[in-house]
Amino acid sequence: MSKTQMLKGVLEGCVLQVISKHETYGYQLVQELRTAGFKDVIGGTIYPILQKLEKKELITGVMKPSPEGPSRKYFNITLTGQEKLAIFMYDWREINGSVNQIFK
Amino acid sequence: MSSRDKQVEGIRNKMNELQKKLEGENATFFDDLRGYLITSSLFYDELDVTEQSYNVCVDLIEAQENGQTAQEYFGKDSRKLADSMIKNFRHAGYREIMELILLPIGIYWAISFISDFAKRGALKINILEYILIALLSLGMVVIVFEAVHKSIYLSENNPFRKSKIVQFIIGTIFFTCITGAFVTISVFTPPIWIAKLVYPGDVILMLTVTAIFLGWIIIGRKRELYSITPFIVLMAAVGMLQRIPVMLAVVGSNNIKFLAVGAAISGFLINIVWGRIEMKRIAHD
Repeated sequence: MSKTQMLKGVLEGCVLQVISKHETYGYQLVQELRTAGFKDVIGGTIYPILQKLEKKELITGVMKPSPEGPSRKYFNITLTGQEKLAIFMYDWREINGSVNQIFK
Repeated sequence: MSSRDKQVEGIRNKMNELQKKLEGENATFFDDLRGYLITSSLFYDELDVTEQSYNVCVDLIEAQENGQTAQEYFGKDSRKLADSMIKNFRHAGYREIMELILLPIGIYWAISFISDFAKRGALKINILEYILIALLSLGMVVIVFEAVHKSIYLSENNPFRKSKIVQFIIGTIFFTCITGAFVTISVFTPPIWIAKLVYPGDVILMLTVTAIFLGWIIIGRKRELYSITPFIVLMAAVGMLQRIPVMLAVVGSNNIKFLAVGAAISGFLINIVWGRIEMKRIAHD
């Protein structure tokens, strides 16, 4: 299995986690994920995820003036998004624990 | 214009301004992506499509300011990005879809009706002809959108993308075929269902259709349709002259034939010349 395929399911949860910490927008989010270690993450992967999360009403986007440039869309997590994030964290810990156990 | 349309126009105007900041390959990347997304939007929510394109533009400008290229920030496959975005667009509402379907049909029906009115004798409307015109105008819009959409990410070596002459030839052939199809429908549709209207009902209906059509173009500022207004006015005027007995007596029934042909040719030529000028202006804006 390639790294990209492994990342696919995880990335959605990570995007939700970053947005849950603070309001953010596309470019800032990609930079934050790269800083966190997802060095290969590109905008081309993140934008469709943001659209999907917004469509599922897990996040909301609001156009706001940006301090350093033109108005842009800032994303916030919704209550449903927080619930989904909690489920993701629980599932991830369980999977992570099992994987660590096997590779011990 | 609805508040939603105003919102779309506002975002689009801002995006046009911002797009000028993009340089080199970033500008090409965004230009292609925007064109691809817009031409996919036939049955998607226009506000969603415009807003997402705007977000990409704003973020690409920030990436450019930080020394990143579009490829470094968005990845090498811009078509893949565009296709993934399209999958997640909200679908257009029932009203929007109906507007989109009725718009080309309404325009071609109005033109056909005004042309029918310019013919001599009682006003006869061939209903089957109008149904075929509706199908053809709708098909034409879908084909044009699809062709532009598919052509954006053609390989650089593809002759359609590479050569302006090939684009011109294919475009001319296509529009000649469409014009031919309209003429064929108009000439050869059998008169199975005919609706007939006599004076003064025909004149009243004609004035109403012309007023609504012209009002919609002028008040709605449909710049892309401005060039057709002289054709409509001229054909309507010829129709009036033929149907109002006093006017017909003044002009003479022989002269009216020349007037009708002259009006059709002048209206058509003005439409072509003015249409080209207006389209260039719209593209420039």
